[in-house]
Amino acid sequence: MPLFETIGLGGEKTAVVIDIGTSYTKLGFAGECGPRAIIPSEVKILQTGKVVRLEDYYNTNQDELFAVLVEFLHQMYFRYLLINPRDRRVLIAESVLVPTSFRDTLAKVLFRHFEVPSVMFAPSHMLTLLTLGINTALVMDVGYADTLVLPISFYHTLNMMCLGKECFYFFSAIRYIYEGVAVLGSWQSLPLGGRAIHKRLESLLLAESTVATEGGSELPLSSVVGTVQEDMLEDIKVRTCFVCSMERSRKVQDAAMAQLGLIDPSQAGQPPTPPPSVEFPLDGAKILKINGSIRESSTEVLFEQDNELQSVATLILDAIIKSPIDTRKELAENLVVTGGTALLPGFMHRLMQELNTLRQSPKYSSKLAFGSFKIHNPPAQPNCVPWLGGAIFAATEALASHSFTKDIQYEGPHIPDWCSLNNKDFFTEGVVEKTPVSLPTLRKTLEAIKSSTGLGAKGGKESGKESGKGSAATTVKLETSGESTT
Amino acid sequence: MESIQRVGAAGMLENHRVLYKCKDYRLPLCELYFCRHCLKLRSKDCVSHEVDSHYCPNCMENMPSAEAKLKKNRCANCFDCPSCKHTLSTRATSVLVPSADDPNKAVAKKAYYLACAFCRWTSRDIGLKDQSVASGGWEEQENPNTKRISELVEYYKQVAQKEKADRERKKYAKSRIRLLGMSGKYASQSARRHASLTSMQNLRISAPDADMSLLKEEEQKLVKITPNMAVEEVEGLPEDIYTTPINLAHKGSAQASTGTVTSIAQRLSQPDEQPTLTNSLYPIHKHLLVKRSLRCKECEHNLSKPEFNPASIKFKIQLVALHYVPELRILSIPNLYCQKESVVLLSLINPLEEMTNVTLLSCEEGDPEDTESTAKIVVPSQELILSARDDAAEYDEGDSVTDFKDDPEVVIFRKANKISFVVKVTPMKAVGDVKIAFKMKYNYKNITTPLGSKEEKETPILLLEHHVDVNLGQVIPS
Amino acid sequence: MELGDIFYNKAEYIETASGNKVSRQSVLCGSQNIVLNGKTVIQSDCIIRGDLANVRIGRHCVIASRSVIRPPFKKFSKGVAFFPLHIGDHVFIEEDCVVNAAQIGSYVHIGRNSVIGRRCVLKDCSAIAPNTVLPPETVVPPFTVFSGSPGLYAGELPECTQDLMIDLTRNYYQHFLPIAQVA
Repeated sequence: MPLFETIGLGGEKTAVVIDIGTSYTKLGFAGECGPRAIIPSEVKILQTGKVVRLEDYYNTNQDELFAVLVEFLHQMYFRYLLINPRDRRVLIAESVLVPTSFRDTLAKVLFRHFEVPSVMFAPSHMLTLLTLGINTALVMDVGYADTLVLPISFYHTLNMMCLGKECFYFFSAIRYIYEGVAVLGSWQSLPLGGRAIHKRLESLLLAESTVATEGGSELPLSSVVGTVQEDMLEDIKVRTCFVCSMERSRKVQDAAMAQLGLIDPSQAGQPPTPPPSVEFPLDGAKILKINGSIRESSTEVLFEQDNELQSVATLILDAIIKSPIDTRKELAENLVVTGGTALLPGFMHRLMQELNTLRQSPKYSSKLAFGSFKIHNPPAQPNCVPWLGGAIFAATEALASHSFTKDIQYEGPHIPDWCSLNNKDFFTEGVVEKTPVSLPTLRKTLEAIKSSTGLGAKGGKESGKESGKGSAATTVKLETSGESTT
Repeated sequence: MESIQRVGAAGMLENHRVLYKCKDYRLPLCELYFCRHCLKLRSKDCVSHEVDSHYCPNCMENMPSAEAKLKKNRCANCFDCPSCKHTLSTRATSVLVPSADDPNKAVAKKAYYLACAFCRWTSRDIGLKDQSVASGGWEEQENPNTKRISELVEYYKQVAQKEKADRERKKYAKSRIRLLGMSGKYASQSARRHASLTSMQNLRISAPDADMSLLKEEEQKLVKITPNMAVEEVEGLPEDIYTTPINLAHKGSAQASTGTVTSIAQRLSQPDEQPTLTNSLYPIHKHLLVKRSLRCKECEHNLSKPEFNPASIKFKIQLVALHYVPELRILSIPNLYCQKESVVLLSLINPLEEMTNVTLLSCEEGDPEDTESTAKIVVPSQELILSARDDAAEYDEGDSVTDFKDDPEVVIFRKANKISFVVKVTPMKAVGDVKIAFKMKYNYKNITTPLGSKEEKETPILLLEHHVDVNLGQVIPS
Repeated sequence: MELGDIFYNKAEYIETASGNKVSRQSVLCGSQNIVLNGKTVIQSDCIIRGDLANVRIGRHCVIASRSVIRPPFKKFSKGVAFFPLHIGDHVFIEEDCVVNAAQIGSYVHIGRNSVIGRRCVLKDCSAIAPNTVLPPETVVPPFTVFSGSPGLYAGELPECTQDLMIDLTRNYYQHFLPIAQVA
C-alpha cells in the first residue's frame, strides 16, 4: 500500500466505481456526475442460457459465484466501460449487509481473474454523506431486498487541527467512527423494499385483477397464470404504482376495517374513490386490468406496521432513539433516503408525514424531544446516490490509501474490512482505542441473526442490544469531538 | 451471452456436444484457443482480454481511445431511440421559412430531424428543434448537478490531500522519535503504542511553532464547501394523481401530448435524469463497441489480435484451437440401450498442414478429469493417421490416394484430411444422456522458433494430449 | 455433430453448370437480374425479386424454404427507387425469413423466421438469432449477434466464425443429395 501512496494521481487512470445492488448495478468512473450505466444484477448462464440473478448466488458455493461474477464483470468491463481492468483501481460501494462470502469472492474475481491493481470496499451509507458535504446523517437505504437505516457521523480535522487535543483525520475518522459502536449500535433493518412490494402486488393482482382476451371475455388473472413474472411486476410497479398520502391511507384502512366489522362504520367515514384503473397490455392479444386500488395499496406494505409495530418510518425513529442522546437532534435534522424504492412517487412525502405523526405517539413522544425532521435532497437520483459518493471518494487520493492490493488479500482467508486497513499506521495505533465490536464481528453477528431468523427478518433489534453496551464509551468520544465541530 | 454464440453456425453443427477440457472448463473447440507457446488449450476465462480499439457499431467508424474516453464511449453522430433502443435515422424534410430578402415570401429550406424506423418515435415528439445540417448540432442533456458535484470532488480532494500530508508528517516525526528513544526492549506492540502516544504529546510540546502556523496557513487555503441544506417540507403528490387516468400506450391516444409513463428500461438508459414521462426522453448517443485482443495469462503471448479496421474480419494473430487441434465430431449415433454395446461413428479432422497420428485412450478408472462419463467405451487400439490439410483438395475431384493401410473394421472412410472411425459404447446408466470421455493424443510439429535463433533447426515433433467429453444424447429406455 | 444427408427429389431441382441447385417450386422473378455464383442452394417456395433490382448471391450460400429475398427501396420526393441487393459467400439463411437488406457480407447466418428490414447492412461474420426483427437501416457489425424485436446487439461470435460458416455451408452442399442419385 505505501507503494501506491507514492504514486501520485497524475499518471493514474480514473478508477472504476461499482455499486452492485440486489436488483440493479450502477457502474461508472470516479469523478463523474452519474453512473455510465445501470444494469440488472443478473447474468446469462453459459450452459443453460438462463438468466440468473447475482443475489441467488449469495449463499451458494463460491465456485459457482466465481463463475457468475466473472461473466458479470466481463460484461461490465467490455460492454459498458470499455477499458482494460488491469489499469484501474476499483471502488465497490456495498451494503454492510452483504455476506462476507460474496465480497471475498468478488475480491478474488477482481484480483485473480481481472488482475486489477487494487480494490476498496466502502459502505454505501457512508458514501452517501460525501454527496452532501455533511458530516452527520441518518441514512436510510430502501433497496430491493431490505431497508437499512444507519446513523453515520464523522468529524474531520478542518477546525480542530491545532487544538492540542487528539487529532481526527477526515478519512481515518470515518473509519474510526464507523468502527466505533456508538453510532453503529443503532442500525436498523427490515426486509422491506422492492421485493416486498412485488410480493404484495402479485398477490393483489392474482386475487383481484382480470385479463381481457381478444375474444372479449374477461378471465381472472389467476386462471391465466399461476405466478406473475418478476419483470412484469416491476414494470407494473414502476409505471402505475405510487405512495398515497397518509390521510388517504388511513381513510382506506378505516373503510376496510369497517367492512370487516372491526370498527363502527359510522366512525369510518367514506372511503376515498380509488384511482383510475389501468389497462396494462400483456402481449398483443391480452390486456390486464389493474384495479385502481392496487396502485396505491401495494406500496402500503412499506408503511403498515407489522406485528412488532415496525415499518420503514419506525426504523428511523428507533435508530434515533438508540443513538447517543446528544446526537439525536442532529440526526433527525439530517435524514437522507437512498435506494431505488425511494423513487416511488410520493414516497418521501409519506415518509415525512409518518415520521411527524409517529413521534407524537406515546411510544416515541417521551424520547424524542427535538425540533423537527429534515430531509436532504442529494444531487443525484436516490438510486445513484451511494454510487455518486463512491465516485467522489474515488476521485481523491484517499482511494489509494484505503484500498487493498493483491498481496493483502492473500494474507488471510477473508478480505479484511476496509476499515481495519491501515492499522499499523502511527495514527491509528496511537489515538484510536480498540473498540469492543469491530465491523467484522458485527458482520458475523448480522449473518448469524440473518440465518437464524430466515430471510434477514428483524435483525436490527438484537444486534442493537448486543452492541448497546458499547454506546456509553462512544458517547464520550462524540462529546469530546463535539465541541470542536462547526 | 454464450448461449447466443451458439446461435450461428456452431449451433447448427451442435458443436457443444463435443467438449474439450481446458483447466476447469469444458468447451466446444470453436470457443477455445491454442497457445502455441505453452502448447495448451485456453478458454475465454483463462486469457486476459484487452481493449484494442473502439468503434461505433452503426457508422462503423473507428474512434481513438482518447476520444472515446472524452465522449464517454459514445458516438458523436449516431443516436439510439430512447423509446425502443433502435438506431435513429435522420430524416430530411423541407419547411417553409420566411425568406431573408423578403419577409413576406416563404422559401423552402431543408430541415433534418431524427426518427425511429421501428417505433416511430421522432425528435419532434419531445419538441426538439429541427436541424439545418444533416448530422450533429443536437442539444446535449446536461446534468443539472454538475457544478455542485465538481465542487464536492474538489473539496474532498483537498481534504484527502491534507490527510495524506499530515500522515506523512507524522510518519516523519515517528521515525525521528524511533531514532531518538526507542530501543529493542520497547518494541512490543503495546509498548510501542504507549510510546507513540506519549511521544506524540512530547512532539506537540517540542515541535517548533513554525510547523503549526504552517498548518494553519494551509487550512486557510482550503476551499470551503457549503453543506447541503436539509428541508422540513417535502412536496406531496399532486392531487390529480388520484383522478387522472394514466396512459401506457405509446402514441395515438389522447394523452400523447402530455407524455406517457416510461418503462424502467427507458428510465435507466438515461441514468442521470431517469425521466418518468416519455416527453422527456432524449436521443441517446450510440454506445461504442470494442475490438479485443487476447493474451495468454501464463506466457503473455497474444492469442488473438484483430485487424484495426472495424469492418475487417481478419486477424493479425489468430490462435484459435480449430486451426491447431484435430477436431472430433459425431458422425452417427445408433439407438443406445443401457448395458448394450453399440457402434458409434466419430470423425476426426486434421487442421494442420502436416500429417498427424492420433491415438485415443479411454480414461482409466478414477481419472480425476473424467467426471462426466456415463458409459464404457472401446476406442480404436491403433493410431489413426490423418493426412495433412490441403486447401486445394476441395477443387480436386479425384479420390484421395489410399495408401494408408487402415483396418476396415475401425476406419470407415477417409477423405482428404478427414477420417471416420468406430468406437464401441456401452451405456451404464438407464436414464439421462450417454456421455463418453477419452484422451486424445496427437503429433504436433512445433513451428514456433524462439526469436533470434536464425539457423533452421529440425522442428521438434511433440505429442500433445487433450481430454475430450462427448455427449451422445439420451439413452433409450429398454 | 456432422450434418446428416438431406435428400431432395431430383426432378424438383435444377442444377446449373456452376453447381447451383434451385428448386422449381421457388419463384425467381426477373431471373436475368439474379446472379448465383455457384454451389448455392435455393430451396422450395422461396421468392427472389430480381425484377425490382439486381440480386447477386455469392458461392456456397443456402437459402432455406419459404424465404423471401427482396431488394430494398428508398422513398424519394419523386417516387420510389429500388437498390441492388448483394449477398456474399457462405451465407446461410434459414427458413421463413424475409430479407430486404442492402448488403449481406460473407459468412453470415440468419436464424429462422427473421425479418431483415429495408437497407440493413449485415457485415461479414455476423449472425441474427431466430425470430429477430431487424428494423430498417440497421447495421450489424462483424462478430456480433443481434436478436429480439427490435433486433439489438445481444452477444458476440467466436473468432473462428469464418471457418465454421465455410464448414457449415460446404457440408450442407455436400449432403444435399438428389434422391434418385441415392437410390
